[in-house]
Amino acid sequence: MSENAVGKSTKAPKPVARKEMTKWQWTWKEMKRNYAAYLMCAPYFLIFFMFTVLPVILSVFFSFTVFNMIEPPKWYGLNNYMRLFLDDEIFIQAIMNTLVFAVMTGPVSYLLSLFTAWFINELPPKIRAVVTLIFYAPSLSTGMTFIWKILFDGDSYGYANSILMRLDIIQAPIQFFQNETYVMPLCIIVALWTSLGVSFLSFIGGLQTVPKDQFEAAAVDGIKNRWQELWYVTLPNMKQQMLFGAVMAITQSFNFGTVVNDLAGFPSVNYCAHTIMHHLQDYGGQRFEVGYSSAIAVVLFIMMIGSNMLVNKILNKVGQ
Amino acid sequence: MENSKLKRVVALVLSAMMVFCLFLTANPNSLIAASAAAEENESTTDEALEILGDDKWLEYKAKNDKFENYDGEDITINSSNLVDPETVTVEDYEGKKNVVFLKDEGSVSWKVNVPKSGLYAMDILYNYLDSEDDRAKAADIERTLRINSKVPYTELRNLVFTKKWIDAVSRYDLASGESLDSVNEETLAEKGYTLPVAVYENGNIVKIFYEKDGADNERRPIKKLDPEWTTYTVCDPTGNYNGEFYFYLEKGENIITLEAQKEYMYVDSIVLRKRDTLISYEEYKNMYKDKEEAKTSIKLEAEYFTSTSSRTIYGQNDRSSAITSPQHPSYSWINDVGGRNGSYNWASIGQWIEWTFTIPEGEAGMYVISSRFLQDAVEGLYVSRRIYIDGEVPFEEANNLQFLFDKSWQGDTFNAGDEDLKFYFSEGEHTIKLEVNYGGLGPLVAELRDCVTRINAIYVKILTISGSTPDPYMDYMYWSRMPDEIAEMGQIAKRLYAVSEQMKEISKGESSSSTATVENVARVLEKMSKDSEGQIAKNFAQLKSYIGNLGTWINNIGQQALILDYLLIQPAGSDDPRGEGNFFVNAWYEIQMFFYSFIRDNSSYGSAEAEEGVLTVDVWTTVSREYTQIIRTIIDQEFANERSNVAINLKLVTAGTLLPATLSGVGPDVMMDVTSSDCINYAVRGAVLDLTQFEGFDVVRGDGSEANPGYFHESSWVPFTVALGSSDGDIAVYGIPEKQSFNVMFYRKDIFANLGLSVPNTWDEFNAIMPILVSQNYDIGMSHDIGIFNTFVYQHGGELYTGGGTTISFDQDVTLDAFTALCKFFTTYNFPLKFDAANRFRSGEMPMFIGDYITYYNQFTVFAPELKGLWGFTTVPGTVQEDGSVTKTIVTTMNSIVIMMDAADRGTAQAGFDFIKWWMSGDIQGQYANELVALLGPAGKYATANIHAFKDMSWTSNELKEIQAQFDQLKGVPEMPGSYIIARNIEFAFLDVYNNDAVPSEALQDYTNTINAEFTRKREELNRGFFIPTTK
Repeated sequence: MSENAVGKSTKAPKPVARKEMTKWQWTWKEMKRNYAAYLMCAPYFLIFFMFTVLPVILSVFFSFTVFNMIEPPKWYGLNNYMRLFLDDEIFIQAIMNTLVFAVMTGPVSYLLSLFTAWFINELPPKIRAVVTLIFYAPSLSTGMTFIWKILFDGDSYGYANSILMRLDIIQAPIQFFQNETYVMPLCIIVALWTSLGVSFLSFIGGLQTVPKDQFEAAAVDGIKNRWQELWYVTLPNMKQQMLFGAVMAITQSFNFGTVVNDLAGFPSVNYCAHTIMHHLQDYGGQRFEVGYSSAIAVVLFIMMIGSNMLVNKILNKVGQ
Repeated sequence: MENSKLKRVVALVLSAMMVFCLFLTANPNSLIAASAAAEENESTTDEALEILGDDKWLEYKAKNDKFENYDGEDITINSSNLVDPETVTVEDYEGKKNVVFLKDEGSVSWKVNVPKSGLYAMDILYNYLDSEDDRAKAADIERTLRINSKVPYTELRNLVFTKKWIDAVSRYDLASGESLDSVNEETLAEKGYTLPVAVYENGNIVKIFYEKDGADNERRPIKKLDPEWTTYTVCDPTGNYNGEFYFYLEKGENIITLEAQKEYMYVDSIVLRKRDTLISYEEYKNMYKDKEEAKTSIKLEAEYFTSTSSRTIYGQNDRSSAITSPQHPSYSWINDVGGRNGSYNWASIGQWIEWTFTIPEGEAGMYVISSRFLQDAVEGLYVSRRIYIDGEVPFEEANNLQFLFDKSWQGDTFNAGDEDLKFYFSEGEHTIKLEVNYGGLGPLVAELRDCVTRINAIYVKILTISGSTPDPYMDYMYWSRMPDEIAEMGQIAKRLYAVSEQMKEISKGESSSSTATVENVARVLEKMSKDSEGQIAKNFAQLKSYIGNLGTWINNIGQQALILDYLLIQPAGSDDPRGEGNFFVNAWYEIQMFFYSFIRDNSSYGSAEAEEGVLTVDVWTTVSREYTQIIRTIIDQEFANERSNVAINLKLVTAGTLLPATLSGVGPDVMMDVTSSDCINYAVRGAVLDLTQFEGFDVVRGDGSEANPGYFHESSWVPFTVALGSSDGDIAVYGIPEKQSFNVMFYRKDIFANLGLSVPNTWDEFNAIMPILVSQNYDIGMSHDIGIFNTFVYQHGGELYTGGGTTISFDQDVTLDAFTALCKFFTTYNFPLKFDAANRFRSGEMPMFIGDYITYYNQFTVFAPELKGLWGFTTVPGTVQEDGSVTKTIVTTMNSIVIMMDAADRGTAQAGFDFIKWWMSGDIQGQYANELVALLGPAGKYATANIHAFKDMSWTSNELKEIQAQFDQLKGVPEMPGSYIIARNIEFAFLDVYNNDAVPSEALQDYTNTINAEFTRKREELNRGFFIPTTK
């Protein structure tokens, strides 16, 4: 026994320097050393890989094929992308619309939630709780958009139509959600209304965690007004929440399709509120062209990654 | 108030525009031409007027009670009294000679000389087709009774003659000394009995051995008609009044007419006789006062009934109570009969169940009848039944057996308020029949119905004066324009208050939601009547919703749902049956249920595991859970007879499951409810099988000849049929039609009658009456979807596709003309683009609109019960062709059943096709449709594609005629790969015209290239070339 023990100790690997190994070897070694941690990660990783990473990889693969969900895919090279950028007017329109939505529900709604959160945070706790609920409620349920549908219903009994007709502003009901003039603006308003969601809540949480002593210290250091306080104390303290909020806002802004579907139907009149999501849905769900819609998905994916990186960069500037 | 002002503006604007249009378009000649051409339709509005003018029974009674009762001999009228000697008579039917055969349409009249003027009661001896006759239907027989060509009172418009349905159960009598314990499935099989078998002991059923399904659950027996000569005493089919009706006949010749509403029937004789009145219970007791009290008791399981009035009343399983007999914690045993809240089984007026039992020798005497029942349907009031002993109502009180409301099971003895009712039973066989009626509630319901009808008429009157949204600040001068109606509102309010008081009496002084519903209407009417100028306009919208509530309430009370577990015929003073088990019984039951749940699965719709040599076919459906259960039951009961070696595994899935399942190879063999575009989408990708290869396809398809008519209308095949390679290529069919729906035109008979308008037959007539309706503040409704668009195109003689399905016809003049015509209704005539059809039709704002026949028929039946008989539907107007003929073509929307490609590999394809062939056959579809109506009520109508089943459903002859007429005009639109692009582009073009005043033809034509490009691209992508077959 003791011999064994001795033998084992002599066989024990001698310490090696990081430089002596390739990167892969080093990683493998570290992984073996920390196997317990990897084991604990494994369940989540497997699920994450199966349902998030793999689909992304698959859709990148399918974007180079023609695939109709039933027959086996055929290799199609870059043709899907060529058609997407060169021969698909609706896709260009969809990109425009998506960007408009992204800008409106991304930065605009982001700032809006930040400032709303900031204002609400100043209220006494009991009132704050109520006001928070009021602002958060719209995003609790996606079905809430039906209020807007009733409000702007194309029937002469719809609220907006009936008020406008009563005031003799219009003679016949306006088809708000079936008229190119109104669809986009209305969708943006609804988007803003519903977007005060998770990020808003996390901001409120973040605001509460800012330590009081820092405000006092800042006051001593010569902060002149609330704006400076916000910029130099509050915001740097809640960077994590802001990053989270930003990621949520971006994801949401690209995923805004369902709200448009609820309001303006699918597809919206003359594709006027058609976003990339809709385009994807159209080709994947209705036309059974999975290859083409995968290409759309890849483009959307790249756009989202890009904007995430952009936001990260911007957030790093906060408080500087 | 904002709303009402707005509506006023709408109305004014619309009417101004319409009046303008009137001057522009309508010339008097076209109006005259229109009315002349539509003479046929006038009859329907005439009928509406006639119905509106009918007396009610109470009014008739009040007028005629002064006359003397006839007191002579019975006067028998038979085939020798027929007015028209050509009437079909049958020499010998079920033991009677020379009986009159009445078809399901037209009428038959008899002449009769009555010796004396006076009041007569009437009996009709009738019979009906038996199950073997192909024309036999599950529906009740309905006739309108006319005397000297007039309907004396409105109740006689729908006399209901029930049929007798029995379970196919064989009878086994226990030999003396043999006990029930020694009998089981095996011993019965040895003796040559096939299940189900009813075991009799001393003339009473002690147990029925039912057939079992694969999971060992009991299966209910097959029902069949048992035609017998039945005496029908003319009485109130609506159930409002107890007792027989009478007629005042003048001395001399009178003509009695039976006019068909539904179903065939045989009539042997009609008997005019002196009136009969029921004795009271006191008198009945006196008659039998020297009879002995009973000593023995007999238990009759309710599910062991001998016959019912309807195919859909059957024994069923209750799991809610531990002591329902018989009960098992896991197996589903048939243990009760009737229906819960919301069910239409044994709940509609006139439906009955009959039980037979035998009083043993020496046990004659006075018995009481107790029952264990569940009444969870009518809160605050009661559910009522009428009891017949040996076919007779023994005394007045037997008309009104009350079953009080409770959420749980109850036990009680039939009583008249505070006294249990005793019945005399002699030795030997007797029957008990319980029939659904309103009992004491009848007169109240009748009164309410009458009020609602009147209020509706007043409502429509106000509507024509001040539009759908009167302005409370405007002076409409109601007092001078409708003084009678204003006075009547006050009277109706008083009547309603009186009804509410009576209802409170019934529920022992308590107010309930029922009384509130009534009083709300009364209060509004009272206000309106007192201060017409101030209140009518203000409360008009309110009145509308209150009438709706009241109508719905009346409709609900018409559903007298009750479940019976068993009946006890026992000596007076015996204990009532227990309602629910005690704590220990219930706990033990629940514990057993819990543990069984680990072993047995009753929730799946699948059939049992397949045995050796049995082929399992996976069938998926996307209909609702209730529908699936019905499909499962029918498969269990009937499919085994068709193909015994095929097991059907039915699964309910959500739409959208099919694609991923097919992709991963775990899809079904047969998929139901596939839309026509999905069907072709799958087909063009090779996911579904061409059905022409299967044995038996020829029978389903048919060739239009007498001998081989096929299952479906020709139009229904069009979307699923393609030619391969080129238009002349081989024909492939990828789906079997399942549901077929199409538009019809609904109209309000009362409003049309009031305005003296006839229902338009062509678009020209449609255009002619449009200004008249609009000038009276009415709207017309029509959708602008692809269905209507196609209808216009086909009526103009166009087609949707050109080039064999490779290009769209948007560059053809005829299509553009059709589109222009469609747009004109919305741009020039300002038809509303969005509207709630059901609401506006009910309120009368929109007395005419075009919509899907089944959806709106069902909706109005439930939604507007108060309008029963005041609306109808007819074919969509047609386009006059150059040669003067009218093309009334409309297009149809189809759903199909398909066989998936995987079935070919699994070897289940032919079996799957056999299943489809069986399922879509006329009998099975008819049964399915009728089961749905039994489950969901009159609103459960189902748009089956099978034209034979169609005739089997409970439509009235008139409705059927209209549907038939529309069916003859149906046209299918081919479905081609890429067709999804058409509908959206039509919508875009339409909105461009509507919103931006674009020129219709240009707007539509602009999309020609977009659509054609998509078609071309699709054809390049997909290997299979689909073309529209050239018609021979």
